[in-house]
Amino acid sequence: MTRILIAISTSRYSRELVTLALKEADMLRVRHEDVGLDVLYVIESDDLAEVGERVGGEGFLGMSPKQEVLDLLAAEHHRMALRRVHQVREAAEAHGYSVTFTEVQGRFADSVIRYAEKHLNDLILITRADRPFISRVLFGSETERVDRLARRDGLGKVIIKDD
Amino acid sequence: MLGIGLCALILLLPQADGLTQAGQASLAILALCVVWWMFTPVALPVTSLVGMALIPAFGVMPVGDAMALFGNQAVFFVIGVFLVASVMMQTGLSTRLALVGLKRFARNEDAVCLVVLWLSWGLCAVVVSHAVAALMLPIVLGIIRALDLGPSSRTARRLLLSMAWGTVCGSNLGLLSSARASLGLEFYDSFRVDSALSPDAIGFLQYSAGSAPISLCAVICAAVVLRWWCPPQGLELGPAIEQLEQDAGGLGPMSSNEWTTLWVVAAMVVMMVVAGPVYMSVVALLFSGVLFGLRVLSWEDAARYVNWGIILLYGGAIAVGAAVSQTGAAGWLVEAVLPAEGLGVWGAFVLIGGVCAGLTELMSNSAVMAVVLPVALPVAESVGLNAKCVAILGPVCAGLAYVLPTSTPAMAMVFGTGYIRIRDTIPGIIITLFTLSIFLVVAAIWWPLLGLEVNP
Repeated sequence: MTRILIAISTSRYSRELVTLALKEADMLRVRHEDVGLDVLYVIESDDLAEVGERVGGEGFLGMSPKQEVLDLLAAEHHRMALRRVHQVREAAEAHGYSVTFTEVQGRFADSVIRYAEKHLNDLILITRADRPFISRVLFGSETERVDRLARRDGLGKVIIKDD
Repeated sequence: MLGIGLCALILLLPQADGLTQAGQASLAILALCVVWWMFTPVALPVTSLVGMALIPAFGVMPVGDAMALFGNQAVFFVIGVFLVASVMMQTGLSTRLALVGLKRFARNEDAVCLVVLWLSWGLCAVVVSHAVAALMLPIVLGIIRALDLGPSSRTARRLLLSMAWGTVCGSNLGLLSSARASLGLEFYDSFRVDSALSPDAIGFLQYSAGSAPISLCAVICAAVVLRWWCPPQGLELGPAIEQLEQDAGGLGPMSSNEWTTLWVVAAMVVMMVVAGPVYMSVVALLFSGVLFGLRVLSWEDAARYVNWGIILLYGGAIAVGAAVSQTGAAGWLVEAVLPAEGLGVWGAFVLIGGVCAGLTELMSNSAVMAVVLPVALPVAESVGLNAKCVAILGPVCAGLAYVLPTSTPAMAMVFGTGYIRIRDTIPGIIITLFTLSIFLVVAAIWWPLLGLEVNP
């Protein structure tokens, strides 16, 4: 069976990515291959840590309000994960594919690579976070890091869908 | 490494004409602090402490004099400001005020968003703006959840930006709205004493009366921009109103602790106005003591709700600023490097405001104060601009942070929800530019009535 991994997060999601994944799956099915879709939702811990740093380190609010804000944001990201997975599942089922869903918290690239290694995904589909180009140049790109790590570890092919 | 390198470079440069050795060393320390405050390789208070330690280490001042700079009025006033915020959060009084306001006026999409904006703004009158953002966030996300909105929803984005921009505008409401205001006043106070030119300090009422109209215009502009940028989606608000009623109902009747907090905070504000600028920090500390004495607040609560690193940040930042000023380095910088005569009074006014507004998108607004004011005050004096006005201009403009997630904790929170992208906050530039323009009008027409002549 060919396994396609759609890796998304709070800031890395587009409907076009899902459409592209289904197109790839349809092409494989035409070649009489069995196709399974995995959706990995990464709650990006770096993003939450950054908010915590701002609230506690710059806003000078104590541990209690800082933790409340972080818990609230984590709960909201979880809610968003369920909404997005529901959208992917609906679209995939309309094409006749079943979907598995996993939610993890961590760094995007590391989480995707760890998942792909474990589940032997043949194709990894990701999209870029919505951030300015200059920031990508200065601080690096997580999507390109996924691509690099996947090549290094001999994992599946990585497709980066630009918005 | 950049900060250390810059610091070493300034120390090793040949001594310039008119600049003392101590002055050169103080500029080296300031350069290190600017870079570290901007890129935060270590926490902000640590930078302040390192800066303060380097003052005697580099021979800028004797150890006793340098350490004595830490014990300034702003530090003690800020303790009071944050204790008020912690008691308002801990007793639930601020949440109650927000929920009651929302329940009363939220009738349609426009009204809900406007009430979130105005409540976030108004609560900043007594609670420091970052704390208002932290207490409004669960309420706003509760409404978003009740309406089952997703990141593509305009209304969700408008609600979150109403909360963030409301607190950003509200941070300029008065002296209790942000800690940076007291930092501005402290820098002005030291400058006033050192230069012996400006006669009197700025009081609670004068500062608030000077900054509040600008804050009011900014929040009106934010309301218009948000209405234009995120028009209503035509949502049925029933579930959100039900949720608000449920949350408000869950609070029960007002507790004795909430009543006590209300009266003590109201009395403190009155006393700050009556007591005058010299005793503001004393009043803040005394009333904080009353809150502890009445057992409305315990020290454990105060420790849980406030990161007391702010004391270290402010104490150290003021010490570094004072070192630059007292060694004559700030004056030399203005004369030799930044000749400002050609600017004129209003040119310097716009330049200082613009620099503060620009820098605040990139670094902590308190750090902006510590970096800009020690130099801006002598610049103002050299062109005939009233330094007292700069003490209000600086903190207000350092609060105009509407665009980047790095600008204020409130913006970081709404970006952290995943609903807001940079493109959603770009119209914040309109509010910044409008506020800077309205600032000129208020400074020219309203401030003279308060005894704040820009061109005395």
